[in-house]
Amino acid sequence: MSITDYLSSLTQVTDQKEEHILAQALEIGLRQMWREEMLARYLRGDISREEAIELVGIEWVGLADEQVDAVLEDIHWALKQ
Amino acid sequence: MGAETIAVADAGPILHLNEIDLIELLNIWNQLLVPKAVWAETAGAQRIPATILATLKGLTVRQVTPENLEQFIRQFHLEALHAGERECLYLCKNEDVSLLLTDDLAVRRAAKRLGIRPVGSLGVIVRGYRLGKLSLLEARTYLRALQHASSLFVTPEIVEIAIRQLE
Repeated sequence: MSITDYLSSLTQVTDQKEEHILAQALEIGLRQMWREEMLARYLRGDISREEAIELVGIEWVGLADEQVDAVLEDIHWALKQ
Repeated sequence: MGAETIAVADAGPILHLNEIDLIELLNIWNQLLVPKAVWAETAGAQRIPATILATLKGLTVRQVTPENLEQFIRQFHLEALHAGERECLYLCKNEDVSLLLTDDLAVRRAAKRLGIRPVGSLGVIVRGYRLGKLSLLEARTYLRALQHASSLFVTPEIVEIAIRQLE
Protein backbone atom coordinates (compact mmCIF):
# COMPACT_ATOMS: atom_id res chain seq x y z
CA MET A 1 0.00 0.00 0.00
CA SER A 2 1.17 3.54 -0.73
CA ILE A 3 1.23 6.34 1.88
CA THR A 4 -1.84 7.84 0.19
CA ASP A 5 -3.66 4.51 0.49
CA TYR A 6 -2.84 4.29 4.20
CA LEU A 7 -4.08 7.84 4.74
CA SER A 8 -7.26 7.28 2.78
CA SER A 9 -7.97 4.00 4.58
CA LEU A 10 -7.30 5.50 8.03
CA THR A 11 -9.60 8.46 7.41
CA GLN A 12 -12.36 6.01 6.51
CA VAL A 13 -11.92 3.48 9.32
CA THR A 14 -11.30 6.06 12.08
CA ASP A 15 -13.68 8.70 10.78
CA GLN A 16 -11.06 11.36 11.49
CA LYS A 17 -9.91 14.22 9.28
CA GLU A 18 -6.79 13.85 7.16
CA GLU A 19 -4.98 16.67 8.95
CA HIS A 20 -5.59 15.04 12.33
CA ILE A 21 -4.21 11.71 11.13
CA LEU A 22 -1.20 13.43 9.53
CA ALA A 23 -0.47 15.28 12.79
CA GLN A 24 -0.62 11.99 14.72
CA ALA A 25 1.60 10.28 12.13
CA LEU A 26 4.18 13.04 12.41
CA GLU A 27 4.23 12.78 16.19
CA ILE A 28 4.50 8.96 16.18
CA GLY A 29 7.19 9.06 13.50
CA LEU A 30 9.24 11.68 15.31
CA ARG A 31 8.98 9.79 18.61
CA GLN A 32 10.21 6.62 16.89
CA MET A 33 13.07 8.41 15.13
CA TRP A 34 14.13 10.04 18.37
CA ARG A 35 14.02 6.71 20.23
CA GLU A 36 16.10 4.99 17.54
CA GLU A 37 18.66 7.78 17.63
CA MET A 38 18.94 7.60 21.44
CA LEU A 39 19.38 3.80 21.28
CA ALA A 40 22.01 4.23 18.56
CA ARG A 41 23.87 6.71 20.78
CA TYR A 42 23.68 4.20 23.64
CA LEU A 43 25.02 1.37 21.48
CA ARG A 44 27.85 3.60 20.22
CA GLY A 45 28.76 4.33 23.83
CA ASP A 46 27.93 8.03 23.53
CA ILE A 47 25.52 7.88 26.48
CA SER A 48 25.37 5.61 29.52
CA ARG A 49 22.80 2.88 30.10
CA GLU A 50 21.23 4.93 32.87
CA GLU A 51 20.88 7.92 30.58
CA ALA A 52 19.39 5.72 27.84
CA ILE A 53 16.87 4.24 30.30
CA GLU A 54 15.87 7.72 31.39
CA LEU A 55 15.43 8.83 27.78
CA VAL A 56 13.59 5.86 26.21
CA GLY A 57 12.66 3.51 29.05
CA ILE A 58 13.95 0.18 30.35
CA GLU A 59 11.98 -1.93 27.82
CA TRP A 60 13.68 -0.44 24.77
CA VAL A 61 17.12 -0.44 26.35
CA GLY A 62 16.55 -4.06 27.42
CA LEU A 63 15.62 -4.99 23.86
CA ALA A 64 18.74 -3.30 22.49
CA ASP A 65 20.86 -5.14 25.08
CA GLU A 66 19.25 -8.44 24.11
CA GLN A 67 20.00 -7.82 20.41
CA VAL A 68 23.63 -7.08 21.18
CA ASP A 69 23.90 -10.16 23.42
CA ALA A 70 22.40 -12.30 20.63
CA VAL A 71 24.91 -11.03 18.09
CA LEU A 72 27.85 -11.52 20.46
CA GLU A 73 26.68 -15.06 21.29
CA ASP A 74 26.37 -15.84 17.58
CA ILE A 75 29.83 -14.53 16.83
CA HIS A 76 31.39 -16.39 19.74
CA TRP A 77 29.83 -19.60 18.40
CA ALA A 78 30.68 -18.82 14.77
CA LEU A 79 34.36 -18.13 15.41
CA LYS A 80 35.00 -21.33 17.38
CA GLN A 81 36.91 -24.22 15.82
CA MET B 1 22.32 -33.59 20.89
CA GLY B 2 23.51 -34.11 17.32
CA ALA B 3 26.64 -32.68 15.73
CA GLU B 4 26.50 -29.18 14.27
CA THR B 5 26.68 -30.42 10.70
CA ILE B 6 22.91 -30.43 10.90
CA ALA B 7 20.67 -27.44 11.51
CA VAL B 8 16.99 -26.64 11.50
CA ALA B 9 16.10 -23.41 9.68
CA ASP B 10 13.36 -20.94 10.46
CA ALA B 11 12.08 -18.64 7.70
CA GLY B 12 14.08 -15.56 8.74
CA PRO B 13 17.64 -16.59 7.82
CA ILE B 14 16.42 -18.24 4.59
CA LEU B 15 14.69 -15.04 3.46
CA HIS B 16 17.29 -12.59 4.75
CA LEU B 17 20.27 -14.43 3.28
CA ASN B 18 18.42 -14.77 -0.03
CA GLU B 19 17.72 -11.03 -0.04
CA ILE B 20 21.47 -10.36 0.00
CA ASP B 21 22.20 -13.14 -2.57
CA LEU B 22 23.94 -15.33 -0.01
CA ILE B 23 21.56 -18.22 0.44
CA GLU B 24 24.17 -20.71 -0.81
CA LEU B 25 26.02 -20.11 2.46
CA LEU B 26 23.45 -22.38 4.09
CA ASN B 27 25.30 -25.21 2.32
CA ILE B 28 27.85 -25.08 5.14
CA TRP B 29 25.49 -27.51 6.87
CA ASN B 30 25.42 -31.02 5.42
CA GLN B 31 21.79 -31.30 6.34
CA LEU B 32 19.32 -28.45 6.69
CA LEU B 33 15.92 -29.44 8.03
CA VAL B 34 12.97 -27.21 7.22
CA PRO B 35 9.53 -27.95 8.69
CA LYS B 36 6.56 -27.86 6.37
CA ALA B 37 5.24 -24.64 7.98
CA VAL B 38 8.50 -22.82 7.20
CA TRP B 39 8.37 -24.10 3.62
CA ALA B 40 4.82 -22.69 3.43
CA GLU B 41 6.00 -19.30 4.80
CA THR B 42 8.87 -19.07 2.31
CA ALA B 43 8.51 -20.91 -1.01
CA GLY B 44 4.82 -21.64 -0.44
CA ALA B 45 4.09 -17.93 0.04
CA GLN B 46 6.32 -17.12 -2.97
CA ARG B 47 8.66 -15.06 -0.82
CA ILE B 48 11.49 -17.08 -2.34
CA PRO B 49 11.39 -19.23 -5.51
CA ALA B 50 11.34 -22.97 -4.76
CA THR B 51 14.05 -23.34 -7.44
CA ILE B 52 16.42 -21.32 -5.25
CA LEU B 53 15.70 -23.46 -2.20
CA ALA B 54 16.30 -26.52 -4.37
CA THR B 55 19.93 -25.38 -4.84
CA LEU B 56 20.56 -26.10 -1.16
CA LYS B 57 21.93 -29.62 -1.40
CA GLY B 58 21.18 -30.68 2.16
CA LEU B 59 17.70 -29.21 2.44
CA THR B 60 15.00 -31.60 3.56
CA VAL B 61 11.39 -30.63 4.25
CA ARG B 62 9.92 -32.38 7.27
CA GLN B 63 6.25 -32.95 8.01
CA VAL B 64 5.42 -32.66 11.69
CA THR B 65 2.71 -34.82 13.26
CA PRO B 66 0.01 -32.39 14.49
CA GLU B 67 -0.86 -34.37 17.64
CA ASN B 68 2.77 -34.54 18.79
CA LEU B 69 3.27 -30.87 17.95
CA GLU B 70 0.23 -29.80 19.98
CA GLN B 71 1.46 -31.73 22.99
CA PHE B 72 4.93 -30.21 22.59
CA ILE B 73 3.49 -26.65 22.41
CA ARG B 74 1.47 -27.18 25.57
CA GLN B 75 4.33 -28.82 27.42
CA PHE B 76 6.80 -25.99 26.71
CA HIS B 77 4.32 -23.08 26.61
CA LEU B 78 5.05 -22.08 23.03
CA GLU B 79 1.57 -20.78 22.23
CA ALA B 80 2.81 -17.23 21.49
CA LEU B 81 5.10 -18.36 18.67
CA HIS B 82 4.14 -18.69 15.00
CA ALA B 83 3.53 -22.05 13.33
CA GLY B 84 6.93 -22.23 11.62
CA GLU B 85 8.76 -21.29 14.80
CA ARG B 86 6.94 -23.92 16.85
CA GLU B 87 7.65 -26.59 14.24
CA CYS B 88 11.33 -25.62 14.14
CA LEU B 89 11.68 -26.07 17.90
CA TYR B 90 9.78 -29.35 17.76
CA LEU B 91 12.02 -30.66 14.97
CA CYS B 92 15.15 -29.75 16.92
CA LYS B 93 13.96 -31.67 19.95
CA ASN B 94 12.40 -34.57 18.07
CA GLU B 95 15.35 -35.13 15.71
CA ASP B 96 18.06 -34.32 18.23
CA VAL B 97 19.36 -31.29 16.33
CA SER B 98 21.27 -28.84 18.52
CA LEU B 99 21.29 -25.84 16.19
CA LEU B 100 18.39 -23.63 15.13
CA LEU B 101 18.82 -20.85 12.58
CA THR B 102 16.48 -18.02 13.55
CA ASP B 103 16.44 -14.22 13.54
CA ASP B 104 13.62 -13.90 16.06
CA LEU B 105 14.43 -12.91 19.64
CA ALA B 106 11.39 -14.68 21.12
CA VAL B 107 12.39 -17.90 19.34
CA ARG B 108 15.96 -17.47 20.58
CA ARG B 109 14.67 -17.28 24.15
CA ALA B 110 12.52 -20.38 23.70
CA ALA B 111 15.36 -22.29 22.01
CA LYS B 112 17.78 -21.57 24.85
CA ARG B 113 15.16 -22.68 27.36
CA LEU B 114 14.99 -25.99 25.49
CA GLY B 115 18.78 -26.41 25.35
CA ILE B 116 19.00 -25.58 21.62
CA ARG B 117 21.61 -23.15 20.29
CA PRO B 118 20.02 -20.37 18.26
CA VAL B 119 22.05 -18.68 15.52
CA GLY B 120 20.93 -15.73 13.42
CA SER B 121 21.78 -14.54 9.93
CA LEU B 122 24.73 -12.50 11.20
CA GLY B 123 26.10 -15.61 12.89
CA VAL B 124 25.73 -17.63 9.69
CA ILE B 125 27.81 -15.05 7.79
CA VAL B 126 30.50 -15.05 10.47
CA ARG B 127 30.53 -18.86 10.45
CA GLY B 128 30.99 -18.73 6.68
CA TYR B 129 33.97 -16.44 7.23
CA ARG B 130 35.42 -18.73 9.93
CA LEU B 131 35.11 -21.75 7.60
CA GLY B 132 36.85 -19.90 4.77
CA LYS B 133 33.78 -19.60 2.55
CA LEU B 134 33.97 -15.79 2.73
CA SER B 135 36.92 -13.41 2.98
CA LEU B 136 36.98 -10.79 5.72
CA LEU B 137 36.05 -8.15 3.17
CA GLU B 138 33.12 -10.24 1.90
CA ALA B 139 31.93 -10.97 5.45
CA ARG B 140 31.99 -7.25 6.28
CA THR B 141 30.15 -6.40 3.06
CA TYR B 142 27.45 -9.02 3.61
CA LEU B 143 26.99 -8.07 7.28
CA ARG B 144 26.38 -4.48 6.23
CA ALA B 145 24.09 -5.66 3.41
CA LEU B 146 21.91 -7.44 5.99
CA GLN B 147 21.21 -4.04 7.51
CA HIS B 148 20.55 -2.05 4.34
CA ALA B 149 19.48 -4.62 1.73
CA SER B 150 17.47 -7.21 3.64
CA SER B 151 14.22 -7.08 5.59
CA LEU B 152 16.01 -8.12 8.81
CA PHE B 153 15.56 -5.49 11.49
CA VAL B 154 19.07 -4.76 12.67
CA THR B 155 20.60 -1.38 13.39
CA PRO B 156 23.88 -0.15 11.85
CA GLU B 157 25.36 0.02 15.35
CA ILE B 158 24.74 -3.69 15.99
CA VAL B 159 26.27 -4.59 12.62
CA GLU B 160 29.34 -2.54 13.47
CA ILE B 161 29.61 -4.31 16.85
CA ALA B 162 29.64 -7.61 14.91
CA ILE B 163 32.25 -6.35 12.45
CA ARG B 164 34.53 -5.15 15.26
CA GLN B 165 34.51 -8.71 16.64
CA LEU B 166 35.94 -9.99 13.34
CA GLU B 167 38.83 -7.53 13.16
